[in-house]
Amino acid sequence: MASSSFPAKTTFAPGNPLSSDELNSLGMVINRVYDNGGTYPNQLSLTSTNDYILRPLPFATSTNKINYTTNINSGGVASVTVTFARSARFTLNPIVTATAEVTGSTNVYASCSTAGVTTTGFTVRLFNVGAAAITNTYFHYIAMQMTQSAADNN
Amino acid sequence: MLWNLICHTPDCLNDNFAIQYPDPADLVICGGCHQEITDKTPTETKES
Repeated sequence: MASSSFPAKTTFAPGNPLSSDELNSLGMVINRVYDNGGTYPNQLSLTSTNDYILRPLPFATSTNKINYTTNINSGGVASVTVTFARSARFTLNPIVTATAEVTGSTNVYASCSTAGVTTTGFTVRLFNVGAAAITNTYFHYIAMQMTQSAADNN
Repeated sequence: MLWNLICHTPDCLNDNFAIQYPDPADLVICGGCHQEITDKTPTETKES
């Protein structure tokens, strides 16, 4: 395919915002208002010009996979505080969803929960509810703040 | 109690940046570099 068939490329200088023409060239439009009867604050949304479905964009987000290598015996617990990368990212306590990918010599079972969610980090806790020891754990999490004025927004 | 958590991993986004967090667990992991944060000190409380 000839290079002329590709959409024109634009080089952006650091800090330069996308213009409306540039956004439109992506086949997308940015919507400031997320119409939900005034229940939720204004939400930045991305909309494809193909289907015109609003797709909300988070104000701030962080996701990670943290390796915890200490054994957790049956009935044992683990508690780990995780700090977000550069804490100023969140202006409100985000919604944090965390789970654990666990392995052991046989099937292992664990219960995972979060506590102490702040703008700077959170604590994740794991309870080994199975009979076998957990020999390796990966904590996975997604932290999200949907708008500048609200962490949650559907 | 609020604690200062300071990562000292070179080139980490959180390097030498004091992150304040209440009552952290014994094990604190920096989300920027995945390394343990061992520099943990309670923030000073000023008596009135």
